[in-house]
Amino acid sequence: MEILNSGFHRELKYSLKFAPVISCEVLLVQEIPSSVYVDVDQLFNLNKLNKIKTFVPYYIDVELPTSKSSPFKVYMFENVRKSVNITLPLHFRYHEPSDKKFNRVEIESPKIYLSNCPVSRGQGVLLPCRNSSEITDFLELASASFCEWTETQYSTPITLSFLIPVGNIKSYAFVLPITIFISWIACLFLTYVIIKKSREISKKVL
Amino acid sequence: MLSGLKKHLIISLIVRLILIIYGEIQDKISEVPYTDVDYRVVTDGSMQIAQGHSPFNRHTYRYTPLLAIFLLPNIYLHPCFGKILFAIFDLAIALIIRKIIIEEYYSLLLNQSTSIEDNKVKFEKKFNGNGNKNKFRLFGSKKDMKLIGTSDRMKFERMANFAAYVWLYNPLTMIIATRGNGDAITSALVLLSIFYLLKIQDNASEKDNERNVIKSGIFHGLAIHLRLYPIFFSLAYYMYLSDNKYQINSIQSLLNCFLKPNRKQIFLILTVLKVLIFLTGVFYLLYDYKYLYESIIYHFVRKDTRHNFSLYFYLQYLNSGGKVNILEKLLTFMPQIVLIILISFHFSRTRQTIQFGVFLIAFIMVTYNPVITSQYFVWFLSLFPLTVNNFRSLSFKQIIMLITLWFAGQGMWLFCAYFLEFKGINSFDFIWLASTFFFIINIVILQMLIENYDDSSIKLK
Repeated sequence: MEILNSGFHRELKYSLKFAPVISCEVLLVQEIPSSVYVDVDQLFNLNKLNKIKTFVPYYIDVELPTSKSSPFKVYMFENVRKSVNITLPLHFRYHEPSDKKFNRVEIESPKIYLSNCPVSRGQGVLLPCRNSSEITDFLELASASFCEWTETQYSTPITLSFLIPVGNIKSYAFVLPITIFISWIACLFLTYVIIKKSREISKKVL
Repeated sequence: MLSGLKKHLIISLIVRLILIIYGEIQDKISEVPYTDVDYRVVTDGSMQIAQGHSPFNRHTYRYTPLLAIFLLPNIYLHPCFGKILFAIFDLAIALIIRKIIIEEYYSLLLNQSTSIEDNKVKFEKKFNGNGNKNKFRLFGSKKDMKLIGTSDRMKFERMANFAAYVWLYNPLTMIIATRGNGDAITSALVLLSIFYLLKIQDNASEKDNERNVIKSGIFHGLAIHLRLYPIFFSLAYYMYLSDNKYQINSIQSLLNCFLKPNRKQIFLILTVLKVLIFLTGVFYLLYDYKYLYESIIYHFVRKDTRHNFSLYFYLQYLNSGGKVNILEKLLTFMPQIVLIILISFHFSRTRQTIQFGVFLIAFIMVTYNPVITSQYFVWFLSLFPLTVNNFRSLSFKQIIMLITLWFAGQGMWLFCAYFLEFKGINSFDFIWLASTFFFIINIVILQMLIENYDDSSIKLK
């Protein structure tokens, strides 16, 4: 797992290698912290382009700041091949302004499940079926069906962490007065210009 | 041979069609789609309607259901239908702009002939009996008058076409419409409401005037229903209909104009209210509270503190943690209200100035808006051509300077935002500076436009 790009729009890239190769379906369940969101419309679009098959069981408001949103899960489906590459586009939410310049955001490795394998191994759990990725209607999210998936262990679970810029609360001391001052000076200035022009025009009318 | 206008209409339609086709190709192959996400939202809304559901079943559908109804052919015919519809509205806007300016000619002609009539009466009174003979000596032969008429007519044709081209070849509006933004419909409705407003004339019959007030009111109501922002033009329209607008010289007379509405003013208010109540009522009955919330209330309570062009963006963001301070809210909201009221009172006295006034109101609304993205620029860009001929006194150099300044302001902002958005560098303070700078540039442009506005450049010889 690695992160691509920098800034508020990034991509989470998963590279899985299977040995031996079996004819299974694989499901990645990624925990997304509240400071990150996925753009469901973007995912639908990528689904149409056959780039990624995902299922997000909730409505994700992309405008909310971190403090008003909660963590959620993204389900990603793929067929097991020798190596599986999935790229999930992520976006970062705004954080509440603070006196730090950056906030740390951490993303843990996903859980990986298999299903429809020739040989079943271990205890199964009920998770959304592969066809849930076809649901684009939000009212039907709840009606997604569940299938049995078996968790599989892998060698290197990691935690990615990044720094996200945060508004500087100390700037408030000058942003507030200057913003208001400028908006009012501009208002007074335009008032003067408007009245001057209006006098000029009405003189001509008379 | 096609006439100039027709040729340009066809060319600009072809350019738009090419952009639409290009968009289709980019959408198919690229992960960054050309089509605006809102266009998909509205299309999905149409799908919901086609299946007999509410368009508000589609998450983030925050428009009037009318829009989804207009785009129903997106489902039945082709997903590009809406874009072509918006492109056609773009052309319609050009035609309405042109028509308004041509009408200006007839109105001036009418006023002139009535003033000639007045003079004639005065003259005949003075030289009782010999009136007829002298009249021709004073005003030349009928043939001369006709000649002056045609050259004037051609001048107005030229001005009208020029204004239409300013709209048709604006790259910003071309791209916005072909990406699937339906604001062209609202702009067309705003222009139609202005068109009928200007048809109301002192020397027309009462009945005609009332009919035009109602037409203007219907289009104004529709425009507000579609997009809310035209509601801020209402005061200017209302003041324009006052009978005593020429005699405003004190606060007292101003208040009289405002507080003692005449029949026309009452008609305007009632028509707009009827349209709004009817449409809101129908859609409320069809789609319940969800309609009210998503397409009206949401736009008032929406708090998007992510970085944008607005002067107020950083202030809002830094404020987002704490409680909303009423005084601060007032201080940030009042300047634009003051300016809108001021313009409505000062620039709604004549046919000419009200067109400029409405443009100014739109410009100020966008400049002072708590959220600004480039789509908002259409609000005033569609009104600018109406008044573009009033700026003959601006030199070519000045115009280039203003346009460069405007884009430079946006460029600077985008530069700062790029470091934040794509490089993860904390540049909030710089984005705020750039937003402030862009705000000042807009104020300078407003000042330049107001100072150089010349209402006598549109006149008969």
